[in-house]
Amino acid sequence: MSGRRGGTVLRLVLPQLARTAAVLLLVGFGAAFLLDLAPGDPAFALLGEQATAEQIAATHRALHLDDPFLTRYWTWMSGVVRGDFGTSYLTGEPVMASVAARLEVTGELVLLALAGALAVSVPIGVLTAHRADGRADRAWSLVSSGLIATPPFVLALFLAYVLALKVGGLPATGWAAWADGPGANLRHAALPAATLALALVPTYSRMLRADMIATLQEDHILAARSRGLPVRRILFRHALRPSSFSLVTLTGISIGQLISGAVVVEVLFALPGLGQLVVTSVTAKDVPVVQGVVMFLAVVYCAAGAVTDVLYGCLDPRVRVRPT
Amino acid sequence: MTTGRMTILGPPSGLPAPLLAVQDVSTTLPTAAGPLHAVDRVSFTLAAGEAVGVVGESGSGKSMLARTVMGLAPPAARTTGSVRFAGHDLLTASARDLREVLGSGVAMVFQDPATALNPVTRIGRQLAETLRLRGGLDRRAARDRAVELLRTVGIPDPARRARSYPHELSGGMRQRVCIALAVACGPRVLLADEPTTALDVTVQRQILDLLADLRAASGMGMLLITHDLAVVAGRTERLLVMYAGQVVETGPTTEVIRAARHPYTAALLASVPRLEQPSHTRLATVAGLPATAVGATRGCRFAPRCPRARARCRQEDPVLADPRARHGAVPGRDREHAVACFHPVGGGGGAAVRDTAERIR
Ligand SMILES: Nc1ncnc2c1ncn2[C@@H]1O[C@H](COP(=O)(O)OP(=O)(O)OP(=O)(O)O)[C@@H](O)[C@H]1O
Ligand code: SF4
Ligand SMILES: [Mg+2]
Repeated sequence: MSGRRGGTVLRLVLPQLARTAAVLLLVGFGAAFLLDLAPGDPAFALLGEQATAEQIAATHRALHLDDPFLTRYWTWMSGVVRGDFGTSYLTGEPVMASVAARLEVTGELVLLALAGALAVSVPIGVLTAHRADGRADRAWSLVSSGLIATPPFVLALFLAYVLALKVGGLPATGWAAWADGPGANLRHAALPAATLALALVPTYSRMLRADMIATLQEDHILAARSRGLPVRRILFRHALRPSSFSLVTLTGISIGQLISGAVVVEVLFALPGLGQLVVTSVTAKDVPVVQGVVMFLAVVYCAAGAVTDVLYGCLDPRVRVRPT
Repeated sequence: MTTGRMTILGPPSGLPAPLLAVQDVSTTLPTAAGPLHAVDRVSFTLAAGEAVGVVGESGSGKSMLARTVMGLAPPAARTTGSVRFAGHDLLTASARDLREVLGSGVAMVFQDPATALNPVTRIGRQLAETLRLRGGLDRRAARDRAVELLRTVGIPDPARRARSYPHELSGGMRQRVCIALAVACGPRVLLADEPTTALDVTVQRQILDLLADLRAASGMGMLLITHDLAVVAGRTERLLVMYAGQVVETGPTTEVIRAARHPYTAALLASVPRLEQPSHTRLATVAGLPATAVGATRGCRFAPRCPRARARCRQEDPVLADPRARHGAVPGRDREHAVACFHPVGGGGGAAVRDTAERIR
């Protein structure tokens, strides 16, 4: 019994690891290649526009910028394999350290946004499915269409205007670390996280609604009703779990959407997160930092995929190993 | 003018008062082609400890009748008539009153045990949930009682089995669990909707026996729905034969089987699958497609398939009446043999019918 279970875990984990490695290789190469094609010279960003030709040549030598692309890629990759992601051209800081420093902000934003989006979408999805085509359902369909059609930056500006400037109480820009006090931290995170979350709520709630409507047609729901179980119990205990597969899948996928959303939101709200780091590094052609961030994000995607697979198993005992 | 197809005059003295009185119940579903009369002016009563059979082909409205009686017709459906149980009319009762009755008053076993259980919850938990929320037991008592119920319905090693998920059980075991769930709160009436259709022949009998035992032990009334006359023969006291939403023949089971008067009942009898055939074989030998009544219909709904149909059958609606009385005579009383047909087959039913009647009795 336990032997079989061990085998199951291996069969579950090994393909995931192999897939992650392949994705990382591809993504790392792709990012390096694209950046190499892009115009610009990190030496200028480092030395300023007035730099002399010798200064620039010296910098190029120091950073191996004149080596062929494949040589640079190989050097970088062998470092990565040893756990060394290099140092920033711009600041000379180790890449991992700058990523880690920014991660606190972006990670909190993304997690808050996810939690908020789910906390709002699940009840909405369940209730609109329960009274499908009812008044609330139709009203929500209208509102969510509007939300989907609104670009995130417009949403961000609107929220900043209404909640920060008109109503007050919430800072429109800037960041306070958790260490500065949870209250200040959450107040600074609220608007950017809400912006990110609002972009997800329409799709989350609609996806859940569609699956819930299908589940509510099933015999076991009718059977639960025929035993006189309370409606709320049937909706949230009997129907929600078998209806949440698409939502779980979507949540995993939307981690990517969230992080790219975070880039926009961090710039708009002036937050010191990964998004800002990417924007400044790309502009300065700070290749090691961009590569480091990209690698990190690839790991996050793959981890999200793995977590999603595990969640399927938790949601439905009939799902064991999903061969991939 | 449409009046009730049958008037309930109350049970003859000496019979127990009915637990459940279904009167003139119709369920109409909107479809693209017009209103579908899934259940059409059906009346019957059910007394404590009594078993009544409902037979009909696929699509004749048996499941919809059961759902309607439970007050659980689809939201789009329009229902008329009354379903009286314990002082309530289940068709008009408030959601709260209905919930009080469901499970503890009237309960239902579903056609397909593969889909009637929550697939993601252990069966013990499903039982305990119902016992806790509807039977008023606390957590621990509910858990113990769940195991006890599983034992009652014949699940071996119930304490261990309580931890199984539905997909880990065989079809027969699943149906036993469904039955345990249905009887968990001691209902007075059990509606069993084709409880054995999805099961193997060998398991069918066991499940039917289990239902009979539970009925004998608790004195509940049971509506046994099936498309297979062999299932209701010998297991029910009375029978309703449904066609296209209507009751076309009713009466004591033995009498309906021995002396079927409606051509449809006769055809059903002639097509009872032989024992060696798998039980889910549909009633293929009733020629023609099963009918559903959509929109306004005129005349007998069986006419397009009926070998005895004549002009009058397509003009007028036949109503349930005592087959021995002249047409248009006083409608038959609930417990007597009645048939809705202008040209009923002669009492004996022909050689094939007699043969089947002998075989399944
Ligand atoms: N939820 C529903 N919405 C609309 N029409 C329905 C619904 N359920 C059933 N019907 C229709 O109502 C009619 C009666 O169906 P019902 O399920 O009661 O038949 P049945 O006698 O139980 O058949 P079976 O032996 O296949 O279970 C059929 O024509 C069916 O298509
Ligand atoms: S009324 Fe006419 S068509 Fe209908 S079953 Fe009787 S004989 Fe056949
Ligand atoms: Mg049915």
